[in-house]
Amino acid sequence: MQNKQKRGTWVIILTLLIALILSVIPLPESWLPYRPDWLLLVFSYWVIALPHRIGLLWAFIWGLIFDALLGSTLGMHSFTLCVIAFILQLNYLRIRIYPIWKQALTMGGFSLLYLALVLWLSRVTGSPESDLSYWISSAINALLWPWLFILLRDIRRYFKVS
Amino acid sequence: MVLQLVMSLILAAVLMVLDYRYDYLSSARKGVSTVLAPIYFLANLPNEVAAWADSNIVSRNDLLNENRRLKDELLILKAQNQRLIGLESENARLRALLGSSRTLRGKRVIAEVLNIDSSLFANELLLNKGSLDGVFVGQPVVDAEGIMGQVTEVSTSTSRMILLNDQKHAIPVRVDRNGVRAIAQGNGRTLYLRHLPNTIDIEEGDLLLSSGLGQKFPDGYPVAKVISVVRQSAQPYAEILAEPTANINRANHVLLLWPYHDPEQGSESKTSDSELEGGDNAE
Repeated sequence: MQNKQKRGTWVIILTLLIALILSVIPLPESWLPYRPDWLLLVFSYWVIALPHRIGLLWAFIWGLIFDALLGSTLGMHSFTLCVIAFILQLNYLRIRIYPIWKQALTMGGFSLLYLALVLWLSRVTGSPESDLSYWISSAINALLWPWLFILLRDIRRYFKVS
Repeated sequence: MVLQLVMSLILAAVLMVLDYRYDYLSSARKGVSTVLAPIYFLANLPNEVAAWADSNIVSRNDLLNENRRLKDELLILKAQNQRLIGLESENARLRALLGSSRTLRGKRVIAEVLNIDSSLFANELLLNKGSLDGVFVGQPVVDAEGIMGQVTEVSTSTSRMILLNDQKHAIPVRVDRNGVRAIAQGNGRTLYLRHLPNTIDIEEGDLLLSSGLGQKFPDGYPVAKVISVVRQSAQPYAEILAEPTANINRANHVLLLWPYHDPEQGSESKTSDSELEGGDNAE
């Protein structure tokens, strides 16, 4: 695209947009707790794959967009995604060489942290209590991660995003 | 790197405080939601397709049946409406005698509920009408069975409404049977009536109407039906739960209400407002 360093920004934006759509698409009531945190997964992939490009600024902006989409307090998901992006940027080399099942477990751990931060921040801003089913999606995230990782890696190679 | 993190976390925290405590960011939020409207409509697409298929792939027989049923319903409603017109004019005459005027019907617009799971914990719905259609914050929303809630956020082509049973929502009501006034607050699933003494005359099955005292909701619309009354002498207040009459979880279309104001008679509408207040106090 523009130069050798930054290629395929539109691919990253498109995948993140699809993640946004998937995270608000209607589901039957009983399936709601099983909805994965799409934005967290896709965003984490891009941080691990391209840590020199995708960092705190992207986390902040996409967190804001997600907040506006959900109608939650502006800055809540920015805060959370910034923390996640920071930890991932410090550890991306280690996570990249993990076998895929260990990566999935790690993502499950990150999801727990993400859910805890979101729950904490929304309790501070006056949301009601939630039950245990709130935490199920971290397990779903871990199960989904291997497939999403392979899919996004193929997309990244096909469009030569670097 | 750490400095960047600290900076962005502080910025996010400041944003949250500004958004939660004050109202500075509502225009920014409105702008972002306007840009995001395509995402809402894209996410709503499967639902639209299903609705389209539902209405286009129907047998002729079903259509005929439905048509017959609707005609019957229309006839019944028309007959009831005739009686209502008489009652309304009689009511207006009696109120004129009492010296209090009641505001009449204002503009109303049907909005479609965008079928989107777009709230973290709150009971909220997205509607497909926005500031282009004149929707405003605080506007009452009703469906065929009763009051549903009010608009909390407006962008150009969509708006967000909070439902009656949300924990942050409360509505002034009166009991249809005897006019006892109360405040009905949401608790996530149903409503509870706050601060009513144990001796209050409310029974299971009582219908609660909006009282119009908060000047937000028009008065006389059904709000909820009392489902349980628990009186314990150890407690200072009775525990009264009520279930909203509106189809809060299943509504596809809702009605947005505008207060009745004649645009040409701005001053007159003001006097009628004060008269309305006087009338409510006198009740």
